[in-house]
Amino acid sequence: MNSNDRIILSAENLSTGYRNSRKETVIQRNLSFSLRRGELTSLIGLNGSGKSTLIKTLCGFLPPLEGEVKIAGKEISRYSAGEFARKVAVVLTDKTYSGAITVRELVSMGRYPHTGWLGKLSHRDNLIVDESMVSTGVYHKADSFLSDLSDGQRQRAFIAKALAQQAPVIILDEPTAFLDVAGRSETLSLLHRTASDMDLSIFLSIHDIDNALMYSDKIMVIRESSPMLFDTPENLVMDGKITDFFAEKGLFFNEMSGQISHYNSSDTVQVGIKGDKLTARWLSNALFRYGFTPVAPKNGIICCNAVSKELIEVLLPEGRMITYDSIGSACSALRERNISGSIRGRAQDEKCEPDR
Amino acid sequence: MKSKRAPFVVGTLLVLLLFAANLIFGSVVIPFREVLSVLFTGETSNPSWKIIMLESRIPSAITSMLCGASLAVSGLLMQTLFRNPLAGPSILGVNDGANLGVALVMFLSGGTIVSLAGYSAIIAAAIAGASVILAIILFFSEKVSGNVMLLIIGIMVGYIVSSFISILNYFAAADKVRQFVMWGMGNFSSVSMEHLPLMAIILITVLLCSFLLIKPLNAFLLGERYAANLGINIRRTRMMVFLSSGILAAVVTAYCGPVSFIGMAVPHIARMLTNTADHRILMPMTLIMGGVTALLCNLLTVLPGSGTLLPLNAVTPLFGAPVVIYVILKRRNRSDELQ
Repeated sequence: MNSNDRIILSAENLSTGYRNSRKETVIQRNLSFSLRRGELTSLIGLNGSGKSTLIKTLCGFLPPLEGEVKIAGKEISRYSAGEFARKVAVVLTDKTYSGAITVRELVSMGRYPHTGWLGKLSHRDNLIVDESMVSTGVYHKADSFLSDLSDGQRQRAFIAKALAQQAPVIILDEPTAFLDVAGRSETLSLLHRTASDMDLSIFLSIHDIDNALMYSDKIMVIRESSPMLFDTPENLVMDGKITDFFAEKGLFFNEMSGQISHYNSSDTVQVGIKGDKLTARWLSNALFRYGFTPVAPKNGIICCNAVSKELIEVLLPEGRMITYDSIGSACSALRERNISGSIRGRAQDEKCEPDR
Repeated sequence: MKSKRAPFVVGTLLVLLLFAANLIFGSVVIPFREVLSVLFTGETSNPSWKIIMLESRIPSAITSMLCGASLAVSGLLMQTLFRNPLAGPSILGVNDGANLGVALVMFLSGGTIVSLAGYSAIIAAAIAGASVILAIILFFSEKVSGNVMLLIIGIMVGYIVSSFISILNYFAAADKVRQFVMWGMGNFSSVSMEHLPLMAIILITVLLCSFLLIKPLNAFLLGERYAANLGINIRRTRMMVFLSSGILAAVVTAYCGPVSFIGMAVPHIARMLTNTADHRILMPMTLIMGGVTALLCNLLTVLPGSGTLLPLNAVTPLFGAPVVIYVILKRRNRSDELQ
């Protein structure tokens, strides 16, 4: 199959923003991209970069200022409300009115675009509602009130509502925003599985990058006043695009761990790390916190050999080796040296021993 | 399903029971046997009892039932649309419009209002006043996108109209002011047999229309943007809701005066009894409980043997306010809607 046949939503020179009778406020210009069936696409960008404006535009809540968005080959403004509801299902961060509706009632509302004036469900509609609840893991909560659910369960109930809509495109506005760590990866893995199993195109905005990188087929990065990026997470990371993106804001993106942190390059001292993988990983974590930059071992800097949790060997540039019995004590020793200035500006010719 | 049907059965029985009680009890004592004989044979030993039954108690019971149901449904529509448990039929200022219309007719007309023509003039004035306010609200609902802003506009328009009424009151003669105050106390017994059919036809038609709004109202529970994404036409639905709720409130106010509390309290009773926010169940339940509540309030205005009635608006808050407090305290655990 031609890969273009898989395109379900495409934007062409799209400008997003707000317009009222007096003026136009453009947030993003010249966005061109396409979303394919079976793929999960994550939209990342800092606050104020226009994530939610783009989401609102794709959901049909805001008209595009310029350019066009086509879904299944048809411009979104040409859809009637009912037709559009069968093409795009949304999950929003809006606070909902009533806790006194049950999960089943909520998911049943997903069938509204397909039912008559009273919203009466046929046997087939009921089956779809059940399937949606089963595949999002809320079937056992079908008769619970929304107010009695955990945040994660409620999010999955709303995802079930979107599935029941049977739209080829699902758009979610920060679906992980109010969830705990487990809820976040659970939700994203559910969405990724759903996109591929049900051949849907899922588009979501998200703040936690590590989960986005792990579960997204495509990542879209938008920035104020620079062109957007759109590629697989792997390409974006390995081309350094993600690192650049965060560096613009004075943040450090760790390409190994996929984590972001505050980073002040002028002030940090490099420390070489090697040894047992797990110990080295968490030694790096601790050193990073105390203002060092963990790097691969090289000449002229302090190197640490992380043998185990109980044994850290620190090799000073002058060749002396000191051992410490914990990550904590190694870190405090290095911090003392760092503060007294004795690390900086040491002789360059002294060697740091390579891997043993 | 059994538990969902029970409140409807009980509610319907209560309507019948209270309807009968409204026929049996009144400010004039009529023996039970005579009540039955008027109803079933048209014969009675005292001709004035027959007149009381046919011209007062029967129309008053029918009016209570219909107007109670209308106010309650009107209140439910407003509560769902504005997502505000304190919303009621009067929230849009439609009542105030009706008040102003009536005040104008009472204070500016030379003659007395007791005549049939005078009563018709009051109804016409109230409907005209309410319609003007409703038109203003509909105009703003096209202009303004946020419901909260509309709510504020409705309340502000109400204040402006109240000012005009105060000014009229200030310059009016004392006996007219008293007349206006009496009208403002609400009364289900003021609708005569001549006026009843037209009122009933309008109210029943609009009540049936509001059942067409069940699906969009349910979608509105999720918020406007979710509703829009479910294919609901937001602006059209909002217009329909304003129109239905406004007409119900306007017509009831025109015929019975501004009746307080029923429209706000009854939807809460219905929610408590059915334990759901689903309008497919809530709407008919609100309708039934509206009838029950109004019939009960009308019954409570009766001081047996005294030959007089308590003002309706003195009774409704006595009944309605504790209910609202109770319901709100009880629903604290499921209180998302109160935030």
